[in-house]
Amino acid sequence: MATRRLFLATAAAWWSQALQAAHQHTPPANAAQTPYLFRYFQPRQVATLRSIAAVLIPADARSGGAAAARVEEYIDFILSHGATSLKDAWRKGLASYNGKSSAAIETMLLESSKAEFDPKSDSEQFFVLVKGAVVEAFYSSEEGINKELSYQGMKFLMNFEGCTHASHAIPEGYKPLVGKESA
Amino acid sequence: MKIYDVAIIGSGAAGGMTGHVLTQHGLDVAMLDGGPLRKPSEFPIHRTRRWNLPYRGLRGDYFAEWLNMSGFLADDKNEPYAASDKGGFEWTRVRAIGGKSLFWAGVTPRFGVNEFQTKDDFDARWPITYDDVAPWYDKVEDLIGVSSTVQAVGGFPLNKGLPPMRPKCAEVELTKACESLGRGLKVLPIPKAILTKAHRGRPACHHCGPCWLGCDSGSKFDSLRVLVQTAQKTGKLTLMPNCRVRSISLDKEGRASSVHYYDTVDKQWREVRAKVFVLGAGCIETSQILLNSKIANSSGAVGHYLSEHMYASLGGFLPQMMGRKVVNEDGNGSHIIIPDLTENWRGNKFIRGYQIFPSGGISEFTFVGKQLAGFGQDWKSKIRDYYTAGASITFQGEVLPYKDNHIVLDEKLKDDAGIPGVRFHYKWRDNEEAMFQDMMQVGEEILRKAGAEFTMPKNPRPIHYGHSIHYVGTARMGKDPKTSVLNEWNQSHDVKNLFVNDAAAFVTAGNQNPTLTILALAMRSSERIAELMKRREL
Repeated sequence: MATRRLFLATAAAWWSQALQAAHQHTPPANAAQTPYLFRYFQPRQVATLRSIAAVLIPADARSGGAAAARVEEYIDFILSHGATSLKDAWRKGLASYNGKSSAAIETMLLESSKAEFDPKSDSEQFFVLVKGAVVEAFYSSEEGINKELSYQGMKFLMNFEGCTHASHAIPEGYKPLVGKESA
Repeated sequence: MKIYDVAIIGSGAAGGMTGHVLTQHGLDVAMLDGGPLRKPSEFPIHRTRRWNLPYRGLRGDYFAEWLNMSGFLADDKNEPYAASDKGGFEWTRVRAIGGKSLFWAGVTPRFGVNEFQTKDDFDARWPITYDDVAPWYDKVEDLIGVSSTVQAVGGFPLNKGLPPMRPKCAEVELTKACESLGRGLKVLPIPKAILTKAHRGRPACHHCGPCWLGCDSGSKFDSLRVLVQTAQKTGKLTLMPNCRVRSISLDKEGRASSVHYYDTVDKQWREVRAKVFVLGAGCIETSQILLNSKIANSSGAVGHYLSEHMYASLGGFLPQMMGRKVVNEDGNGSHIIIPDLTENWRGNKFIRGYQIFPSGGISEFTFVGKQLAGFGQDWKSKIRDYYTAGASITFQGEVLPYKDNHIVLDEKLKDDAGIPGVRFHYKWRDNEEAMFQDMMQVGEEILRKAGAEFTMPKNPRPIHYGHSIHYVGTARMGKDPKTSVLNEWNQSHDVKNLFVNDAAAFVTAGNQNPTLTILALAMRSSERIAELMKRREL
């Protein structure tokens, strides 16, 4: 019986190793290393957008922020398929930030963000536009997913335990922040 | 020219099951499919990551970009289609041996008693009952491996399967909310054709990524590995990839005699002859072939009664899930389901019902930053807290099989082989609208009960026509040849050696995912074919 158990244990270990070996999750190929060629933005607009994005999602010890994710490239690609009215909104919005220092940009963004969920002026509407685009570009990038969010999925996980907690506590000092319809 | 015993058109769930059963009976089978034979190692699942895709999977259909990138979808330019109604129709066509079964999510509830024997007066009657299909469900579940031996609740039958998947943290919290609402919602482990332990030579799932991008370990059922390759091992299957079928022709006695196809590799037209023909090209392409063939349509029902599922969802954030340690919570998608117990919420506002998929937890990414005011370091930190707290309530509801929801052939939409393409005439009506409003009410109640933060969309709407990919109807079965295309054995009323084994045969969409029922009906029909051929009655 002991021999049989040893055999089964050895077979199980062998199978697990064989399965892993047979099912290598090779790292996916990264995007081409050739520089991105901008389709819509002019160089000055690219520089301005980079500056705005770096204020919105700054670098820190966790990730390199919007600058490291090169959010302007994804935004340019999406915008290149966009409607003329959308392109006009971007052109005018970026022009208002053109040549400003980071500190000045932050001040402008702070002012424009006060009416974030009910924007009326052009600057307020552009804030919503640029913030939304930067969020989408950053949090769907490798920098955003792997570094900022530390996503752990898409990896070999032989045993999925599911929830093992007796209960889940609401964090101390919690206050709802999302939306107007919070329960 | 060789005459096969049976020619099968399509290699997905229906075609694959038909080939599997008939070759086991020693019949000589040809299987034609418009797509190539692709290796599991070519599936998109581990070949790239979201950030390498041009649109990052964020524009258009949720997986179309991934599959398009890998060349698994039909090219709409070469094989065009159109929709006449304002809402359009999204038609997903996989071009590979195995068909859509390669990229499904694996959810396998059975149709219940209420789906086969509807209690309302809408004119759509199955000619078979749950008891007729139940033994075939048992056999299919054993063959393909279905995780989750769930308890029978109301019209939701017992799944005789493998151990259930374990619920995630957010699913535990949502379960508490659902079951304390007072609506009688019963949360069950979700039945899936994804193995929770080794089964019939296939390994257990190791939770490596989104199942709908193709399972390269074979832990999720697909027709290619479980059915087609098994059929090939008998030596009785002639697999014919890259063969796009245009039509089936009849002989002088009115029997189907040849299938005509275009070889997409050498660009030549050819034919295959057989004694029996089985269509399993997928609901819409099957009826496209019938219409192009001008056969089996004395009822005028071919192409009509197109149905599918209406999808809608609400999302939120559970405070008790906020700021958790980030762990791998992918699992294999949703691990729980609420079956349709319609009498508990339907009332008399609409007929038929819907399933609910409560889900949540840590996923690949989040855009909650758009909903959180501000920007900068503190704002980033809040995003990380919310990232672990996502929750969603997704609904899958039955769309009624209206006769004038249909397809027609459009000569202006010819493909690169000159085959007339499909034009959809399809829209949802008052019943679907009432059902959708009910979904939103129930979803809001669940999220509020769970203590979630959420933002109701200003004008919530269901997801667009065709999104479900659960196309059914268009060659429905029935007792009356004047109003149906097939008899209760998936056999054409008009052409006795012609069978339709895919979801075109469905009378209603039910509210359950259709693949298990496709497999069960295809197995049942195929055994019938083998029996009739043995008795020389075909």
